[in-house]
Amino acid sequence: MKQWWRTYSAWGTVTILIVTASCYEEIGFDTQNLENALIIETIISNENKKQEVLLSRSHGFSDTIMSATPERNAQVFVETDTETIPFEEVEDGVYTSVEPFAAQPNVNYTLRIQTNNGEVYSSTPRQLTTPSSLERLYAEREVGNNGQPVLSIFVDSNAPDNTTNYYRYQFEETYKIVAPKYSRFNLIITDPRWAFCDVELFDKEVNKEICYNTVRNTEVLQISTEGLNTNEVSRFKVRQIDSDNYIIGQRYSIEVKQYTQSSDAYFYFDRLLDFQEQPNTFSQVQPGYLTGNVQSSDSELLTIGFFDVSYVTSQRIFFNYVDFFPDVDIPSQVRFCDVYAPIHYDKYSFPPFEDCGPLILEDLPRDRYLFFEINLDQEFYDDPPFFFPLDGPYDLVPKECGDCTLFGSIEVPEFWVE
Amino acid sequence: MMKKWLFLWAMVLLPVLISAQETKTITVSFQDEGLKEALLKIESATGLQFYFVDEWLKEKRITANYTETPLEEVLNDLFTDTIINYYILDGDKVILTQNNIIYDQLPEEFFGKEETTDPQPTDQPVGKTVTPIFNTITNTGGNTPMETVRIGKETKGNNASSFTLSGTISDEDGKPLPNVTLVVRNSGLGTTTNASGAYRITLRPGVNRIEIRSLGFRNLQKRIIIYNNGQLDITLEEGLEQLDAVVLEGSAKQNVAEVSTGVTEIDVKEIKNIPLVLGERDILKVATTLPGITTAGEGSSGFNVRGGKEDQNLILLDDGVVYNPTHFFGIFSGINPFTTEDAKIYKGNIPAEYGGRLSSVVDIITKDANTEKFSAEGSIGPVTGSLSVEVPIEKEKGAFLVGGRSTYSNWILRSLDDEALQNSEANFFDVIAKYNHKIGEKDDIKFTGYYSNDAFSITSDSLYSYSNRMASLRWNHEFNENHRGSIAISNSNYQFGIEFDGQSNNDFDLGYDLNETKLKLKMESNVGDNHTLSYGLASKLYNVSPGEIEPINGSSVIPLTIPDEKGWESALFISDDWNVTDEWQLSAGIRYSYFSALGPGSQNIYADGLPRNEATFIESREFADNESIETYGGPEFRLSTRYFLTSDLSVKASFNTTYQYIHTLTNNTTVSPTDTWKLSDLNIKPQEASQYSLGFYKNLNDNMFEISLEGYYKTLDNVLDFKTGAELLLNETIETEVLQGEGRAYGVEFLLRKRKGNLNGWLGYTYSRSEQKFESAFSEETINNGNYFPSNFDKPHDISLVANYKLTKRFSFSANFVYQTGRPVTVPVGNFFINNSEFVLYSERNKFRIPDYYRFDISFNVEGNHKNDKLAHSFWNISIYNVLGRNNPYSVFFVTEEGQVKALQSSIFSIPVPTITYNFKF
Repeated sequence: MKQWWRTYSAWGTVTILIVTASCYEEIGFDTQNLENALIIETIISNENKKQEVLLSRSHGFSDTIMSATPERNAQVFVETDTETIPFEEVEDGVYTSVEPFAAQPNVNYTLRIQTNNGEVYSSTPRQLTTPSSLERLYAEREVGNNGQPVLSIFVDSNAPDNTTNYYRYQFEETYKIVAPKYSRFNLIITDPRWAFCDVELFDKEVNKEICYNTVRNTEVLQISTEGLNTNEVSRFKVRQIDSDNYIIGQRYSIEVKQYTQSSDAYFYFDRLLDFQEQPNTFSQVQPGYLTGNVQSSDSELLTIGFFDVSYVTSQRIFFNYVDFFPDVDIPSQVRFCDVYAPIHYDKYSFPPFEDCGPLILEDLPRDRYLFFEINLDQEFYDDPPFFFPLDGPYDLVPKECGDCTLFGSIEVPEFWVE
Repeated sequence: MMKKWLFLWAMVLLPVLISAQETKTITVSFQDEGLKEALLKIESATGLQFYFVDEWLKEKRITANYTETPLEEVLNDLFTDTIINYYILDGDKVILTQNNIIYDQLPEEFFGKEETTDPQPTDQPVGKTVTPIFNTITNTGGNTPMETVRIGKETKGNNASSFTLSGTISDEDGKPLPNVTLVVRNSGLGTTTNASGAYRITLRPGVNRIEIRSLGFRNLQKRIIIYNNGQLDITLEEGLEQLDAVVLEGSAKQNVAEVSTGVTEIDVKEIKNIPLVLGERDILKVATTLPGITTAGEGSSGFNVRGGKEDQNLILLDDGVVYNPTHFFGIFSGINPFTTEDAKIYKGNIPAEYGGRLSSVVDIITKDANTEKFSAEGSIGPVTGSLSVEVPIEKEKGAFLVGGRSTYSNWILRSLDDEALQNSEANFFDVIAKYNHKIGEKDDIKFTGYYSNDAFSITSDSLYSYSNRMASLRWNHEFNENHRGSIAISNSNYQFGIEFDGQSNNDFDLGYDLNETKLKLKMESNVGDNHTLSYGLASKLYNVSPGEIEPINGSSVIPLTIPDEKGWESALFISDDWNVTDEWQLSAGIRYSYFSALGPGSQNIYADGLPRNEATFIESREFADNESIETYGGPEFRLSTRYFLTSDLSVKASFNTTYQYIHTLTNNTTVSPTDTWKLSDLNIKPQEASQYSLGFYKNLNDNMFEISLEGYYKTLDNVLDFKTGAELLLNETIETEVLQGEGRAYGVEFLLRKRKGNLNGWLGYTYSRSEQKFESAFSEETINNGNYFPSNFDKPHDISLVANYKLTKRFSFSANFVYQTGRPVTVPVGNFFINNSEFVLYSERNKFRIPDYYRFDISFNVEGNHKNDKLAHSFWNISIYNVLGRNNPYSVFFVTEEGQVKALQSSIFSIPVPTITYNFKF
């Protein structure tokens, strides 16, 4: 009896495998020419400055492109009922208004773009959104999900009118970086010939001990006051930084800009953001092309982006690591900065070695290590007539430990306050 | 008695009518006496001799006094309200006749001898001066045995232009036969029997030649001489041609004669030869081989009728709605073919009695169980086993049918040693039970219960399950020949659940539940000779629990319940089938439907004229229990007409409007069957559709070939689709995620079918388009710039070929071929950066198409021999599904691998799948 079922189960298994372990196969869709959507990133604001419009193109999956493909040589204008404000391309794909201007209330602004290949796009007319104020920008120490301390940066905001508001936040964070094993000297090979093997220390021309780096946020950060009891945004977390992140290790500054968005723009980006989430059974999202408010008369030409004229306010704060984490070791941008003293055979070595040793042959020419200090504890094999070093005369450190420009720029930002 | 019989028959055949020469008077009195006693009393009082059959005289009872009353007057009184006529022979012999039963009971040989005799209408009452109906039969002279039947008593002064003949057609076991065709040869009119084997046809006075055809039965011709409205029950002999044809319509002339456009009938008995996936007979899958009905391929739950969405099909099983009649996500249908008698699909003109869905009605009727003897039928296939049993409970009155199907896969998976498979689950079953009982001559009741259940794991940590439950009770009553009524009560339930048990902190259990209770009252009346009225009302109550999510195993999932919904849908309907002339038939119906969304519940109110979202949200309004939240309704028109251009060529046209108050929320981006049904409410309006269709129908070569060409144009309003970026499941504000827009669908359907011969089958081709448009001043509410775009089920070209070649009576080959344009999909086409973070760029909605679908299947069928004394009949089906090994996509989805988005298709049957199925019947 048992035997009979055994035979039968073989049958059943085959069937089930066919049904459940169905086969997967990649299929190709001819998406050529369709990936060429024009991407428009801009928020014209009431801040008096050279307003900015960024134009780029989407790209196919086959390309390993890590940043936007700029759209060059386009003509960009912002039109009002009375004037046309010209823009010029200042960098690839970056267009700024020729003259600074601030968006005024109750004026219709329309974005017009003509690309280099003659495609014409224009936006729906937009007006400056309602004023709001970024009341407070502040940092607090918190405990993160993994139990480790974190630093959170919050925004409180307020709007005079009573309607729902939609805020988009952009921030720029600037942090100081200090090279942990910096030396004011450079070790330079002066005579690499065999039997000479000469190196010398020189003063560095540029001080690369302290740098600053400025980074813009890369998320689309937005919030609506819908569902909140008041029309205020309270403790909206714009940024959370782990306490072991070197960017706050010294001194840190963040400037947060709060744009009052139109609801259209808010929901546009809201849906766009949904696509970023990996779909699974329980968060299914209807995909598709999202129509923004900048369009071409040719409906085949796709665009991504939303032209909005937003009221903006901003604030900047500074703080030091020790203000929040007096009890925690200061994190560094470099994990290991152990010194290393490569062997160097100079003319005093005996018996003469057939080369100058790794310091001259490998470490200095390859630019992987920087001089840190003289190895005062150098050891030798000293058993005349034999005499040769067991380690090197100079302590080297990996380059990132002695050169902050790998992480930032030595220029002090204009707004920086110590 | 036999002597009387013969004598009587001789009289009937007398070529000349003999009239009474003298008037005889009698004196007699009756006290609640039966007809027979009364006649015997007259015999003894007068010396007259009556010739009759005892059985004729059963029902009537008489109380009367006659003094010196003319004999004819007495007899007229006695036979009022009976169908007995008399005539007086030689002054002292009275011969009674009752035509409609006499012939049924005569031996066959007897008729064989009489076939060329033209019987005379001998049963005219003596002395009447009404124009007698003499035969004008033009006998074909062929050697078909033809029986002559007389119907009704000719009454004085009855000069109606037509009479109605009705009755029941049954097989030799007394089981009523549905879908039997009756065609009147001399007029070309025809009808078919309904599910309980009953028919009704209008005949001209005098001689009519009718032909009765049904597959699997011997054709029968009868000559009917009709004098009045009457009844004729017919028994068909089984033909020895079970393998005759793969034919979907049981009626030869229905193609041409049926008044409605777009009606498809599936003869369930005949689908067994068609090769189907894993040897499972499947009614709905066969339906999709006909023009105008498509599926997205294996594993797509549901089907699309004439460019309509899957949720626009009303699937009725014995009056009750079945929401998801599929197993395994649609690989198999949940309708048991062994217990199904008949399936009719209305895709064009939907009768006024049905409503609530836009595109089609699938009316599935379960067999009436055999009241005469026990029988059983079963099959053993690689995936399922099936058994159905018919048990008589009370002879000729009540019988019980129960049928069940189940997979063994789950049991097998569990019994294997492989540990990985221990927790797998792949299980489904369905069971149906029906009890039918005849109460007297005029009433019958039918009770049906149905349950289907599916449960399986796609991934090891999630268990999907869904089930349908349905119960219905129907009572048919015949008030008199001209009035019939039925009342049906049903309750349907559909549930699905997902249990996610990944041993993590987000384990949960999710459930959805829908329940509806329906009451339907339908009356049918013949008005005059040319009108058949159907009218009635239907009312149903919906209770929907849209979903709840519960944490299990102490997980951190936040429990969420979307509040229940309630709705009440009602309709009044009336329709008239009107034979305007012999050539022209009109069917006009109107249905007034009404829907009320009921509390308790809360509804979100949004600003008028703006997209529904958080920004336009005004307030949430609470409604008390049974308080009307919003009502919708309107008239639905169901007009259809047919005109015979020639006797085998007709043109039909129809106009149809429909409303739909319950909608599925579905998208085609995922594999899982998480479609939920949503009632119309304050924010979601009912969907509406109007369809115009026009078709030409031609039968060739003595109905051997049928050709039909039908075109339709359909407009839809308030069709639902999701906004781009919408979150689909368990959304508390789902109204902010859906859009309602316009749709249009049009197409031409061509069908060529060969009904007879060793090679039979059909070829269908459909060109159709189905498009939608979502246009708004707000980009959020716009899809594809507000232009028409192909709907998810727009498949322009659809070809299917089904062929069956009969080698001998027992061996046959079948093959079918299906081709469909691939369905549209939305695909990611590239990437872009905003704020230096990368996003995926999707194409416009449904801009691309998945590869075309095609498939070729073959099967070889062996029928056991047909010896009657054999215990069981058997039937072997050896089939190969997808012979070409075509890798047809079942679903298309996208994965991100190392930053690159890839489109993958999954296929279920990418290789030829051979199966052997054994069917038995006893």
